[in-house]
Amino acid sequence: MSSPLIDNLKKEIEGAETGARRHEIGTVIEVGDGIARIFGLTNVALQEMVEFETSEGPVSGVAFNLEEDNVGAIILGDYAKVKEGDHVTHAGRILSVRVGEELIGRVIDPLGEPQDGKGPIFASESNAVYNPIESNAPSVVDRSPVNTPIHTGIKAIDSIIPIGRGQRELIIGDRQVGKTSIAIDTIINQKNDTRHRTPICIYVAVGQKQSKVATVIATLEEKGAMEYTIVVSAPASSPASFRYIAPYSAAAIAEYFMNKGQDALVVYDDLSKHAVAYREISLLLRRPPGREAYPGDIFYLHSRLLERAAKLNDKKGGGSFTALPIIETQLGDVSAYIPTNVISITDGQIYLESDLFNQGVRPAVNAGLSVSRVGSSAQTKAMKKVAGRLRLELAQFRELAAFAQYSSELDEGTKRTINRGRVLTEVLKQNELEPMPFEKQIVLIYAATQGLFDAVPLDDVRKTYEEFLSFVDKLHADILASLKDSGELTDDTAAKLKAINEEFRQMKS
Amino acid sequence: MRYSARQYAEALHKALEEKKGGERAEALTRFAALIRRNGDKSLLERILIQYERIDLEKSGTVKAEVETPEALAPHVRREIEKAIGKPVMLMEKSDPSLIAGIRILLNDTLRIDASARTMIAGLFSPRK
Repeated sequence: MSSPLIDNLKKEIEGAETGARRHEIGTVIEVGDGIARIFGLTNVALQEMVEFETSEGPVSGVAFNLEEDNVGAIILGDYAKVKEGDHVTHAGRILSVRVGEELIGRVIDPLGEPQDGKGPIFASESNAVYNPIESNAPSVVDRSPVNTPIHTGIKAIDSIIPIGRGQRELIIGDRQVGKTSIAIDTIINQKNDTRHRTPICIYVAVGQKQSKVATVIATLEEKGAMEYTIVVSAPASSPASFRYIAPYSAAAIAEYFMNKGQDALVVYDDLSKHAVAYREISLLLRRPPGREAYPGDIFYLHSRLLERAAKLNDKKGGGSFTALPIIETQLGDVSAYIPTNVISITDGQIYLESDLFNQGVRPAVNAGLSVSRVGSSAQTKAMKKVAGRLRLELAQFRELAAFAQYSSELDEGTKRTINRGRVLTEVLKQNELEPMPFEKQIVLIYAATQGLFDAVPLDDVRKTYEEFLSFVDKLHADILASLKDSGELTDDTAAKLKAINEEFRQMKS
Repeated sequence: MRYSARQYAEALHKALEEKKGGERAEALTRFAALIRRNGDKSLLERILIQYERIDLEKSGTVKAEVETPEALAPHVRREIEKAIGKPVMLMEKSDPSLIAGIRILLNDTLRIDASARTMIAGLFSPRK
């Protein structure tokens, strides 16, 4: 009696290779702290995967340092299993990660293994696509200028520091000032931004506490954002090798979606810890240390990663890969080694300040030091119109803010500018996990720059603008819909908004 | 100037060439002192591996570690020596987990695996 299962097995056995296999072999001569030195393997390629044949089963590694008489390899997995004298073979492939739509909604480690206890990610091995973790950035001819916005839902950012799809915008600040919150809000807001297609979001946790990663995942799940999000987790407890490859792994996944013509958004949380992991590996491999003990190629570490973010041209499918790297500073020192490196690589930075945070300004964005170099060309026309005035008024306020304490001796014009600046600062305050749709942002910023809240005591500004937005939502939903659909602020719409402001003013008086 | 393990091994090999008995011991002592003076004790293991390799290269001998599930039959041994075509330093090891077939490691750098265990593992390997 034969069954299809037995027939299949017979076929497999008949087609099996029975010839002898030739392997180049290396021998482990030194092992420790996730690093191994291998004697032999003279034909191994840089970044090629190797397999340690240990007494407790195979362990993977990557050839990382090709020296005159030995190979330095980082061990991906339990390095305690690798012993001196163990044999090492080529795995025959460059370090790569399996990619596909199935990854969406899952939590994985940098090698693509599931970490969420929901079972295997891919149902079968057929048609498996592997993307190399390290790959070249798209060339100049394949790129197109950034022209589509990615709305964060945060007023202060969407108006003053707009981000475009394909841009690299750094989020920088001290610990506990809300860097991750901005990134998470941005991910959550993507499902609200129905005017543009929803990007696949990838959150990469590098060297974070497991508890923080768990909180982020729970928040994304609660807000329904895991439906289009992938979490790549390399927490503080994972080996330095995992923390080092995690961002590259996420970039490989993002490239898969970008090359399919989709949009991807990657949050690298954070690259300071990534640099520390790379320093650890480099020092263990005895590479010469440089400034702050980082190796000489630390700039290249981040530049080659961030250069992979791109907006492809229509010929290449028009996909995009936006990067939001995060850098943690110490006592606001942006002139340290890693922050200056990443600032110079990215297309702008959102600078968060502890002082502002402590004054209750949330998000604690310093509008003066923050900049977006390419985002304005991607900004919605309507937002560009209202934000121009907002930026100008805030700049004037910053200049005069030092004189604010002598307010009784100031002329009327200066007093008005200072008051407007304070009102605008209040208007830009926002709670975390409460992203605001861009059409509402436009209506609100327009009203604030037209002076609708100037007479309101500062403590009541927030309550008043919430009332105003609910008033617009209930009685003038058509204007919100038209702004959402067209993205433009025509003279007609501006006149209508003026009338709405007047109507609200009269209602309140 | 820092010397590599290969350079040390070559120097040691030259120093020990054509030396016998007490002279060899003396040369070895001097070499050990040199390593200590240069602070290269950590290279010692690599130097010894390189020395063995140079020694085999110079003498034209091939080191072969042969693994079989049962003791190696004399005719198989002769066949291996014939196939290599050079003087062979053959070491035998029996490993029943190979199930059948043979596995040969040449000069610690090249493995020829014709064991049933590897063939069966190849059947179930997820990525070929």
